[in-house]
Amino acid sequence: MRRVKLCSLILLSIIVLSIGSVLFLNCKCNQVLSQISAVEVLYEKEKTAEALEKTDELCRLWNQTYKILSILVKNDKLSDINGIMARLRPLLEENNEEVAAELQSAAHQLDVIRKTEFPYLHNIF
Amino acid sequence: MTIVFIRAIILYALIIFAIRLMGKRQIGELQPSELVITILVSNIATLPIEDTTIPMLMGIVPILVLVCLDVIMSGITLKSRFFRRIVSGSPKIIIRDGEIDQKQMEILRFSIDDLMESLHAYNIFDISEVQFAIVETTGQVSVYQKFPYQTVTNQGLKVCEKVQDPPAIVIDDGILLQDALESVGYDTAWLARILAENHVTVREVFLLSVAPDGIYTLVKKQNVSSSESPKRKG
Repeated sequence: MRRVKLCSLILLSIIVLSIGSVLFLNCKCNQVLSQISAVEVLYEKEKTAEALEKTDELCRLWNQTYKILSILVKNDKLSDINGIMARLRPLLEENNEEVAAELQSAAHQLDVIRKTEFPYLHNIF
Repeated sequence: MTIVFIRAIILYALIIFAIRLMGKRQIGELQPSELVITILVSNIATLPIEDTTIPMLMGIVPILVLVCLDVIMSGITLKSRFFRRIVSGSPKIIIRDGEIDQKQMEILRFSIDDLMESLHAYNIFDISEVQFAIVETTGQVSVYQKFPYQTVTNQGLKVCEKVQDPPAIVIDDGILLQDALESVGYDTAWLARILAENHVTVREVFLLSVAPDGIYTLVKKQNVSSSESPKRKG
């Protein structure tokens, strides 16, 4: 019965870690999404300098978040967002019209990751 | 490539841990659930090794969950007969009192060829020699022969009882196993005498097995001598 107890303990730990990882993922995605919204707002108000500063903050936050998310999520889901983050600063500096589209795309993909990692019934089946 | 190498080592260690966690039963006869787990675990383990974009947790978590569920289920089936019947099924008798239960064979999808193949494994080539044949939950067939065809035993021949423990390996590839030597009732002085008689040291011995009655088998290492010593009385 010692094995059964050990396995019950391992299973319980995995359940706790799974719930924790979902909540953690949700929290991190929300942080990045709010940062993306902040950049969007500044860009729409044409405050380019502040938008660039916020973009740098966003990229730093994304670099930290990426390291943690890559443990929980498949890399190909994150690689597109990586590309967008890399393009953001140059697009902002050029005052390119695609900035808004790229920000929307990043936000959407993050939202998709957050929703697909949550154990809804349609995700399980 | 380094990532693949490191992942392979980690998953190998994990699978060894998982197999040890499941216990020795996994290495022997498999129940249906155990067979499923074994196949699943081996398939899941390859995924993070083949594809480095998949997080390691996608391999580790399902393996641990499946193994833990299997162990817990086996613990439950140990205590509950009802669960045991649901998970493992129950043994089915296909030959009873020398008569084949054809209906049972049909239910089990067990053909005559399958039955004969199982009997041949017991060196039984005539079905009339069988009193009972049972298909176990693992699919193996257990056979009980009719009295005239059963193997004669010492008890049947009324041979005088001689209780003796089996021989123990005392030297294993040049290493002395002190506990084993004591378990057969001998000490290092006795061992030294045996080694002196055979002109070898402990390190030169590949295998020494000793029975409680003092009969031993000594095999020297090939670089010392290629000959195996016959059994001798110590």
